[in-house]
Amino acid sequence: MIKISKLNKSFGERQILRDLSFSIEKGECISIIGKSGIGKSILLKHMIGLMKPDSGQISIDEKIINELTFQQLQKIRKKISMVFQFGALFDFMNVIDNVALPLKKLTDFSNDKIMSYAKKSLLDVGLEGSEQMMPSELSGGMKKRVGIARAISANPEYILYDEPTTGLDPIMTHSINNLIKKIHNEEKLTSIIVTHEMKTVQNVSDRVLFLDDGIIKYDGKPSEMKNCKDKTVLQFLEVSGSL
Amino acid sequence: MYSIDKLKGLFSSGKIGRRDFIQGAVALGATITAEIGTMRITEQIDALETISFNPISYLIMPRMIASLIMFPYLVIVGDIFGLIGGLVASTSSYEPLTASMFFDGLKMNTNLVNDCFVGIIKGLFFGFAITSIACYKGFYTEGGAEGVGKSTTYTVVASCISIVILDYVLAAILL
Repeated sequence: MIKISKLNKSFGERQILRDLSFSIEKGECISIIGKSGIGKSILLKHMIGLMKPDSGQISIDEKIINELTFQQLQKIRKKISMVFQFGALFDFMNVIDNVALPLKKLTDFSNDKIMSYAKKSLLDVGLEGSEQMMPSELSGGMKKRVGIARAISANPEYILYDEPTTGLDPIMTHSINNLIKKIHNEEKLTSIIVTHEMKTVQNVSDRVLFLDDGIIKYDGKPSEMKNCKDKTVLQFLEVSGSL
Repeated sequence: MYSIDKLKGLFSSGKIGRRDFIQGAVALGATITAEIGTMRITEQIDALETISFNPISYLIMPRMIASLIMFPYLVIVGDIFGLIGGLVASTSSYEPLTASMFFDGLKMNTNLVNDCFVGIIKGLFFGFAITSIACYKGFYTEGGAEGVGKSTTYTVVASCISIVILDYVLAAILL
C-alpha cells in the first residue's frame, strides 16, 4: 500500500503540492491526471524516492520512504519500477541489455536465466526480434515498450508510468493502453499512471485522481468523473471530449 | 655558436607538448560533462536509481579512477612527444643542432627524472580536477539541451582555470 500524507513541495516561490493526502491499495490501477506542469510527474518521482518533499510523508508498505537512507531506499525500490516518459533507455546498451539490467542488479540468476527472462519481457511487450537494436534505432513507441519491458522484467509489486502514451499516434496509444491493462491483470501489480489522455484513464484505470493547484480535485471512478462539480475537472473533460 | 638560452628554448618545447595534451584532456572533460549531462536530462540517471544502482558508483567512480590512472600516462606521452618535437625542431631549424648536441644539452639543462616525476604528480592532480569538475557539472545538469551546453562550457572554463592554479601551486611546492 502506498500512503501519501500532507505532502508539500515547492520550487522557489511556486508551491507545486499542497498538503496532498491519499492512499493507493495493493492491486489498484490508478490514473493521476491534470493540466501540464501541475506536478503529476513530481508526485510520481516522490513515490519512488527520486525527490524529497519539503514536508509530509510517503509510505510504501508501512515504510516512510522520505526518511530512509539511500541504502534502505534501494531495498524498497526493488518492489517498484518506473516507466519514464521517453523510455530513459541507456543509450550505450542495446535493447536486451537494457531490459536485463534490473535482473542483473536485483537477482542472483545465472546469465542464461537473465537473458531468457529479458527475452520473455520483450515478448510480452511485442518486441521479440529487436534484442540487438540500439535505443537510437527505435521509434518513440518502441522505446516506451522497451521501457515497460525493463520495468516488468524484475517482477515488481508496484509500477509507475509517467505519461506512457504522450506523443504517440492513436493506434500506438491504444496498443500501449492494452499492454498496461494486460500487464496489470496478468502480473497482479499495483499500477499508477500519470497521463493527460482520458482514453487511458477510461480504458485502463479503476480509479482516477485529478490534480490541480497542488490539491486533489477529484478522487473516484473514471465513469463518475462527469458528475464532479469542480469547474476545472469539467473543463478538462469537455476539452478532451469525454463529457 | 649555440647559446644555452637557445637550447633551453628548444627543450621547453617538451613542456609545450605536455600542455597540449592537458588541453586535450580538458576536451575529454567536456565530453564527460556532455555524456553525463545528457543522461541526466533524458532521465537515464533517474532510471539507474530506480533499479537500485547508485549513480555515483556506477557513473562517476569509474571515470574518476580511470582518469587518475590515465592522466599521468597522458603526461608521460605528452613529455615524450614534446621531446621528439624538440629534437625535430632543433635538428631541422635554420641553424640545426645535431641529435647528440640536443641530448647533451638535455642532460646538462634538465633533471629528467625529477621533471618526469613532477609531471606525473601534476597529471594526477589535473586528472582529478578535470574529471571531478566534469562529472559534477554533468551530474547536476538541468534545463534540457541548453543546460548541457552551459554545463559543458562551464567545465571547459573551470578546468582551464583549475589547471592554471594547480600548475602554479604544484610548481611552487614541488620545484
